[in-house]
Amino acid sequence: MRISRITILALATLSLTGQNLPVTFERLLKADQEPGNWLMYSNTYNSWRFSRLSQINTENVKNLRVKWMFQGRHVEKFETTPLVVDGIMYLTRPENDVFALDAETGRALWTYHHQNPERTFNCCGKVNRGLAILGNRLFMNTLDMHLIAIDAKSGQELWKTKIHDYAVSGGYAATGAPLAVKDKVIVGMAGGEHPISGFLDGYDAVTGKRLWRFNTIPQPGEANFGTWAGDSWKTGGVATWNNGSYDPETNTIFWGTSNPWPDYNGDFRAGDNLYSCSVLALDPDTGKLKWHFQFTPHDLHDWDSTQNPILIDAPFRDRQRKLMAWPNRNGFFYLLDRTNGEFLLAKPFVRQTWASGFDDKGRPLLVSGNDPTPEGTDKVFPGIDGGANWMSHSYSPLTKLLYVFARDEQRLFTKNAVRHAPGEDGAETASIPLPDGGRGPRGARGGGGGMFGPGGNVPGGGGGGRRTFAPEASWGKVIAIDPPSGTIKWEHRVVTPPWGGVMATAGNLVFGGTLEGVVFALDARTGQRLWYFAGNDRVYASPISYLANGKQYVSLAVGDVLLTFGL
Amino acid sequence: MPAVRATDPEIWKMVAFVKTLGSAGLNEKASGNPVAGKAVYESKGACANCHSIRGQGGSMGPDLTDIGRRRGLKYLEESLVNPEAEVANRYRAIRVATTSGQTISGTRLNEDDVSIQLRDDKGNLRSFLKENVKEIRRDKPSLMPAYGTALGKKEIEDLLAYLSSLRGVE
Repeated sequence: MRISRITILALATLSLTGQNLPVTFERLLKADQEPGNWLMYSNTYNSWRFSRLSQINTENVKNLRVKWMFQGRHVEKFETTPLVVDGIMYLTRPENDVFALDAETGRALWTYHHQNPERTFNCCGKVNRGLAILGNRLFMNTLDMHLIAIDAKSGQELWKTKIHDYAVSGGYAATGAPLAVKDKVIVGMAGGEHPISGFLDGYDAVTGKRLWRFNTIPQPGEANFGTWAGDSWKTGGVATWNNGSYDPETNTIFWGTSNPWPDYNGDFRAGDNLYSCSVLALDPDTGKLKWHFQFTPHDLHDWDSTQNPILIDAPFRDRQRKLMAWPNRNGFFYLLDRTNGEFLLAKPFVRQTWASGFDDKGRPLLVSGNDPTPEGTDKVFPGIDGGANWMSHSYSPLTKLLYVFARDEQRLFTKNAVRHAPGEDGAETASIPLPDGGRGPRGARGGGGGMFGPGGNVPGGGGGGRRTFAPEASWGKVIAIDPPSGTIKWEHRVVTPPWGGVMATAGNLVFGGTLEGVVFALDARTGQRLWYFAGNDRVYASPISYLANGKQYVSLAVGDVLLTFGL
Repeated sequence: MPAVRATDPEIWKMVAFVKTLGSAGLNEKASGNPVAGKAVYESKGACANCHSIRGQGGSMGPDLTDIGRRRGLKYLEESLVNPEAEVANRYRAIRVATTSGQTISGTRLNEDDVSIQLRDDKGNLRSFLKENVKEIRRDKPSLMPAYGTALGKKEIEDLLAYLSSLRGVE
């Protein structure tokens, strides 16, 4: 007994003292050479969310079992992607708490708590998706719009920088994981369901000082100003609420943008509404725009383009290209040249009704009859939450396939009255009659016109859409896409449209979890399910894999618990 | 259900809206005879085989103890004449055929990718691993018969009057 205690203590000591800080930018650049660690949100700068570990593989995955659990003890959606650095796991818990855990046992080493105000202005839950690490510092965005640096060894707060007032214009929040690039921390923000004005920021990782801000809606005098009718650009939304990618060869960060506001009623914002529903290619040193590509001009369906950009080098039409693969919320899989934003192809990966094709520049050719209506329409595909959403896709360099946990869903789109911001004369106007004769809540919250019921907003400005879920009408599916052709090689269907992402591994497995809590491992080559665990609560997260004391683990948040599996 | 950010007045607007769901005609007076309707409910309609009132009856369909307080005449009439028009997820009918040759009909209680749970037409709780299921049919979402032809116009009016009179335990 004494010997085993000593042995365990020795192993634990080895695990806890073996941490190799700092995590330099050079280590982040070569994160794929540290397969035992998970050093950033998508594991590597190319956003592959691919683990090069293969201890757990198609032969032995049937023996996978729960090794430990982290009890979150909260009621919010648990969307976190943990980081792992040499046996230490760092994760966020809603609202904005940080835990350092021994990655072998799940035992807590330190905790950090950030107190948000009682009321914050997040559209879709008081969530947080994870951390970034650079040097000895962890970085977290908060619901009340702060960027916080925390010492990775002690859990002590090092600095806290205010990103923006959180309670203005209907409300800002920051829910995504930051991205550390060079000596900077890149930070996005949420709030596209409110009449805000979006941006992407770069901060000094040491001091917390903001070094640049890119406005996602061009301001007067900036390039591409004028794609919004009247003054609608002032309240046009366009958030940056997920994580981005970085290409060191071209020194470019790629970041997706959200819907324009009001979400479902575009009467006051005629025009393409740049840079909504786009990917931005930015210089991380200056925040200057290199190029942009807009997937959905003048969006009316809340089809954010906030998915993680997947960076792949592969042959395309007999020529090696630097590609960007993008399964978009609008239901199309896109392939772009990431050096210049050139449109290469787009193919649907779920049911879609709104586009008959694309012109040479990638502009969709619209099919009439797909706009939201006051009475509501359920004939538009994909649904409000899209064919893909924020959940991570994964690319395997072994199979050369891109894995997407897609939503093939029927929903009802409604268009409601919305108050436009008061004009210079102070008069409020409405594109269709306000249901309450103009006496309802002001447009600063969700677009005005009241909430719920005819004329209300659920959530987002100018409309919404209730779920019409029935198993025969809506489902989820893990699909394997061949990026150069956009061809779907296999499909694994699940009962419900998902809110979890996937992770491919060198063990030729694809891990993920369903809304019912079924954690699964699929054969990456065929889509056959090889293993499952019935977690029995919603999965709103994407898996990771790492080593602790030389053994491979897989972690995924299910319900309010982080489950960690091993052999 | 995620937390909803709303002020107190907004929350009360939501409450008011939810209370209106399916309640069109809630305060309309039914033209039929509730006493005669009770007889239809208990005999020709055989409603108690699947529905319960104050704990008496079956559990295949929704409890009707206070249905008259929650649903208006228009909704109730459509539920009688065209029960497939709106079926709550917990009362959706399915038919499961197993690999061993059994066929079980019932209402779907729960489902994920590896198993499905249902209440069979005798009221028993059943669960099947999908690896043991050959087929799941969902093409007839309601187990309830359409009473538009089984009952006469007067009988439907009386039954509506009876259902409308069910206001729960006072």
